Amino acid sequence: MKDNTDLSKEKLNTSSNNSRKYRRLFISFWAILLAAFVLVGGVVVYVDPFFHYHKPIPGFPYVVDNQLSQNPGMARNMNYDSCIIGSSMTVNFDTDDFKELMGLDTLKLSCSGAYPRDDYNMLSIVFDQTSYARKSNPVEAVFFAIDIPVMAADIDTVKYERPEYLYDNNIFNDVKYVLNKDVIMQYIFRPIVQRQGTDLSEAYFSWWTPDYYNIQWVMHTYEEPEKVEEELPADAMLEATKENLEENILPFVEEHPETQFYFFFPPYSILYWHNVIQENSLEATFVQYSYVAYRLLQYGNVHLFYFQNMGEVTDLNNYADYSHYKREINRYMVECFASGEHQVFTSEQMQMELDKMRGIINEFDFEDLFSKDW
Amino acid sequence: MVFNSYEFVLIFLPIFLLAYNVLRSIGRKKGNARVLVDLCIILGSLCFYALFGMRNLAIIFISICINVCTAIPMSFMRERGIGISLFGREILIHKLWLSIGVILNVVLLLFFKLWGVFLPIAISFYTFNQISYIVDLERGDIEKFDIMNYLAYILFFPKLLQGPLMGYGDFDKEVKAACEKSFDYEIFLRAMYLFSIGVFKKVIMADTIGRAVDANFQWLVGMGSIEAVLTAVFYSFQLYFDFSGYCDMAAAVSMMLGIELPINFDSPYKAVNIVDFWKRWHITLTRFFTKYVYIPLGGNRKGEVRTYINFMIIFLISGFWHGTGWTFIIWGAMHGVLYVITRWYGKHRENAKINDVSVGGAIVKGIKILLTFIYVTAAWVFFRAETIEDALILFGQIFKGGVRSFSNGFSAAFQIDELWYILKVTPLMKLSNAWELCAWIFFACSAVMIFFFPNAVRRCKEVKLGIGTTLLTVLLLVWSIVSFGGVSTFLYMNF
Repeated sequence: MKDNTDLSKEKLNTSSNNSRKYRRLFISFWAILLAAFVLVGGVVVYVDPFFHYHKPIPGFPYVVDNQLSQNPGMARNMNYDSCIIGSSMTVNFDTDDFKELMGLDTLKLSCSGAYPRDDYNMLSIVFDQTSYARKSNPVEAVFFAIDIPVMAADIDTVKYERPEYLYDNNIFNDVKYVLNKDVIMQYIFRPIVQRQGTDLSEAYFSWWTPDYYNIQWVMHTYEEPEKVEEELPADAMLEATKENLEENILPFVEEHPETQFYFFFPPYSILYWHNVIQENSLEATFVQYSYVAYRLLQYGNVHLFYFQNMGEVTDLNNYADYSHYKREINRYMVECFASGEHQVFTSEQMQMELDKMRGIINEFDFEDLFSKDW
Repeated sequence: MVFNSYEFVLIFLPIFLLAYNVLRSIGRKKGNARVLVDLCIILGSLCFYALFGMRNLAIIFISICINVCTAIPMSFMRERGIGISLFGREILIHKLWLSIGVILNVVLLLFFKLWGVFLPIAISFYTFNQISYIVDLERGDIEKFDIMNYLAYILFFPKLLQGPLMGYGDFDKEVKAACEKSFDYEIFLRAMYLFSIGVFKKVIMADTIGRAVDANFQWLVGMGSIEAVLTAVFYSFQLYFDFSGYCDMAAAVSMMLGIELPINFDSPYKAVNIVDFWKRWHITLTRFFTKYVYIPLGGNRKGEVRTYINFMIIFLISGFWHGTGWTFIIWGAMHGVLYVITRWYGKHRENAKINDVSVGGAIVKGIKILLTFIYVTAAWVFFRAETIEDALILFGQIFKGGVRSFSNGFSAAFQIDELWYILKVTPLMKLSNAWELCAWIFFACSAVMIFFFPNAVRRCKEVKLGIGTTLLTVLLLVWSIVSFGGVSTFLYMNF
């Protein structure tokens, strides 16, 4: 029979052994946990599917489908000498067309539903001289879709809350990117498994397949705004438009005379104008167009294009809804950027274009369009 | 800041644990560990809570002021036993003072619940803790008012947001014991094990299921019978994973500090009747209502009918506490009615033995568990629905019959990336309804975890620690942490 001293010693030994065991497990826990984090984080940093740290690694099938998350990284770390800025009116541009027709390496930085502040945010990154992109290439050209309907928005309004960790320079919040299951699974492992990346020239293409571009679909999904009785004063949107121009757009034009800015008014369909009429803001809208054109035309590095009075706008078979046109029209616009067709040089010329637009609106038979059962 | 966030897990918790252990160690050597531990808890908790915004902090400050102004004079008056005559009755003034304090707490809570422009985070929980504190102080259960001890009790961040509700006496005992302890590897590992289970329950299970449930509650008429049943059942699962996952995390964090929180969930869906259910679901709330409402109402001392009325009052108050609106009242009433019937049955049928959960074989027990679960799930439908009509629509869909494919939102919620890989590498992808299978996989996993796994808090205390538990802890932690964020998806599909 063991005496008390032996029992005490045994207890002490057991306790000491347990203590050592738990200490070892504690160290193992931290070692494994840190190793797991380093592994996961290392893979994300190495592949960098949002281009937050570096340019794409050769051969990796990058999936580019998230404007909010991937645009800032692309703007900073891609090789390009021109870019496309604007709303969904720009998503159907094929950047190969810019290469073919204008010899430019163009990067599409569309932001669907963009407000002027969104464009400002993106241009701020594009013109950030400390980025890899700017150290590699100057910005020769910016192709910028001006959406008049959002030009009267508050100057700080953005379409969506941004994932700030991808926009700011705080490395600590990068953990949200580096340890992120969606990034790992959807943007690293899945492309590897599927062996299929995005063709950058076609990134952000609209989900509408060619079948959707027809009048039946457009009219079937069209929701006519309610008629507003009181007409909006002609100058109602001028002040806000002026502010947006001066705060969010013109500073870049002024600060970068070496860059050519191709501003264009996208060719919305005739239904867009019907909306404007229903909202009783036709005159105010025309005044806005004139004003924006007038301000832009003050600069020697601006090329302004007015596409809205093209014949195609009255044929709804070119559209998937009241404003979104098919890819052929994007291609045509690039041809115009190269050739100068549809370019407006003076305010007087702009007035003529707007008069022509007014004529198209007046002549269009809306009654006939809406009388049919679509 | 919530537990399942990068900020908490990767920044706040490590820094706080380090500071806490260093201060506790210094305090022990200098003989003032309690002061330093209280200080550390108060400052840490204020930082933790401040991240919800200054207006939340302002409201909790008001609540603290109300209760400090109640507690200090009340202690003073109680010591002196000063009385006044009111409506011909001699009333001790400290009791009157207490009543005013309790009323002010209730008014503050009601104000924000009914008319406030916002509902301050955790107001329901800390108000109950405040009431419990001043009542215990008046009753003499708390020796004397100490501002540091009081603040540490009210603000203690692991239990601040969602409980568990803990009496001051128990908390004080735990903090005293914690002051004597030093950092313990074993306790830390067990706590981490529990935390990893809790965070997994919340992030992987509850949040995924929640997305599916939300999708279907937004479009109730689109559901087929099976989908409607699944929606109701999944909501039961979601609530359990969400709340018990939070409580597991709270208990784990607290355990790391050497402070043990009471068990709040004890495998509630294994309950064999509604009385048993309330001994397992949100246990500390039931205790609170029993101690501070049921017993003061007379408990079971004023006859059988009055006892049942008291039960009903408790459940109706519980319904109202959970949320304003008739749906919550109906939820409370449903529980109250069955609770009263079960108690009555247990009292009047000699062989009923409602408290003896071992009665009957496995099959009988299984049936009892299933029936209790069905009833509780039906009550949860009212708890979740925006309106009574919505709840009735869901029940209508269940009995409408007909098989339909799951709705897109419901089905998509379960198509998590992990399952995508499993389906991709197995023949399952060839099935026509492969994606619906994900919902069933979730259903099966949830059911197994809920009905067959042991209680996580007990498990963490009993499990034999080794490399297996360490690997499991790391796996669940990493899996959950990388799932905190996600990528902001672009909702503007149609431009």
